[in-house]
Amino acid sequence: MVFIEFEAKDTVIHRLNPVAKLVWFGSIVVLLTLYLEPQPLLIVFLLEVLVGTLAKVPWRKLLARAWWAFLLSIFGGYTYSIWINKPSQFWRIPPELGCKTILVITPEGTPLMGYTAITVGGLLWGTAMTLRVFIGVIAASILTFITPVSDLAMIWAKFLPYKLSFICTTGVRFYPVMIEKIQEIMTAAKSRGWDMSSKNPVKRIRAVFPIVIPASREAMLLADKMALAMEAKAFGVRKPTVLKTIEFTPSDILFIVFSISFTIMMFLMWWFYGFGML
Amino acid sequence: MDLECCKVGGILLLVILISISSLPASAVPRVVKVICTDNEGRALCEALVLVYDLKGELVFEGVTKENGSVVMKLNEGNYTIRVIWLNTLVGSKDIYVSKYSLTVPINCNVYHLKVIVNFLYLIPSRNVDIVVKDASSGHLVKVVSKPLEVPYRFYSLSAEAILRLPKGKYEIVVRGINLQTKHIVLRKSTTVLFTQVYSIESIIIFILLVATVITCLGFILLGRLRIQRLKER
Repeated sequence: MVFIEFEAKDTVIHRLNPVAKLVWFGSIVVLLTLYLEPQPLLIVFLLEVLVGTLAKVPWRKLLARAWWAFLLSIFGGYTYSIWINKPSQFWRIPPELGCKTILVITPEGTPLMGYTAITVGGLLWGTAMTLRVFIGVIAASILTFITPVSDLAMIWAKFLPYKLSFICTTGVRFYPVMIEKIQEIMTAAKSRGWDMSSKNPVKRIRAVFPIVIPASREAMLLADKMALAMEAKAFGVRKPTVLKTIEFTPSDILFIVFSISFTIMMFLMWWFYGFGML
Repeated sequence: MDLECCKVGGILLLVILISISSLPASAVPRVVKVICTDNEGRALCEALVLVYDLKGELVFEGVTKENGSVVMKLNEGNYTIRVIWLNTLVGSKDIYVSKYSLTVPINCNVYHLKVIVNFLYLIPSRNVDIVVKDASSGHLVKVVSKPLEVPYRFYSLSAEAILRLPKGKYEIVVRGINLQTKHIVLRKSTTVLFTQVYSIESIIIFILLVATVITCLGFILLGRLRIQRLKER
């Protein structure tokens, strides 16, 4: 899911090479998998905001496009947190604090639901889950905002077999093209009285057909044209010449060292002090 | 003959009555429960409890359980209870045991000494040993071995140990890769912070923290300089 597309801006972050950007993104993903508490996630979030600000990310645009993801994470995180109420679910937090009940929702023995309650530990867990989604969505958006697809493809080509990397690149490159095509089809369908506002799920599924069929046709035509172009350019005969090489400037090295040292530091704090273990 | 028998029987009865009435009540022992707590009101576990009678003879010796209590049986009379903690007299109380069982709470002069070991105030040093010595005699009072606990808190991280010590002067030595010594006079529960001791994990985290800050600042400054130069060209 691309919330904000790449914009060529003259910022310190945009000027980084794609490897440095991917290392930063990877370090955020690693840290997100570690923590079950909001405190360390807040530090990661602040760092992310710093990188986003340096990259001049259009925050309002991001919020306008991803608000539903944030809302969904708040709803999902806090809903599931009502089941976080048993001492065995806490590693570091004292069970008497973690299980401290603020409000009992369903008593013990309730069919299907079981015992559910708003607890201190549950609230911490819910906040952490919400923050994890927030940080993940923002990090992915920053990555797509600062990195052109061609740069990502260049890295894929380094590690993946050439044909596989070509498939991945094509998929990513044609994503906005297909979105545009689908929008066009939808506009055309609307002008002919197409409506998808029904609340009945069966009617909604049926309403999708007039869009899916022309969209599939467009995709096939596009693939056919592309196959023809590839054949004309003798695709697969031998490995193509690399037009761009990845070069590391002092800024890139500093940014990579920064990302790695920050990740290791946070990991060691988690390992030795239990920082972020609920 | 009958009169003689009556006289002897009467004398015997009198003797029995007198002997029963003169029998002391203390011959029936009473249950006495001593509960020892420290200055913070927490149960003092494994404290030595000694009970002396009025003649100064030791009549009971026992060690408190986890809840700080020790139970004994004493005859009626006056006694002195003494509580010993880490070879120091920390509490004393005179009691009178009557016909009924008795519970004696003793609040001992044992204070909490919280030792926090955070390298440069910020990074907990867990793998350190804490040695507490009596400053006047030089005797070893307590040793806390590594690793220290990092208790859960919302906003801070600190490696700490809570020691319960009697009133007095102490020398505290914290030994990690290096060591730091502090002298304290313990008159109330207090906290001592060690900020110069580092262990292997705290020094690694410190180096990484420095590297993170330096590389972050270096990257921003270098990047901005580069953009400025390019604009000037």
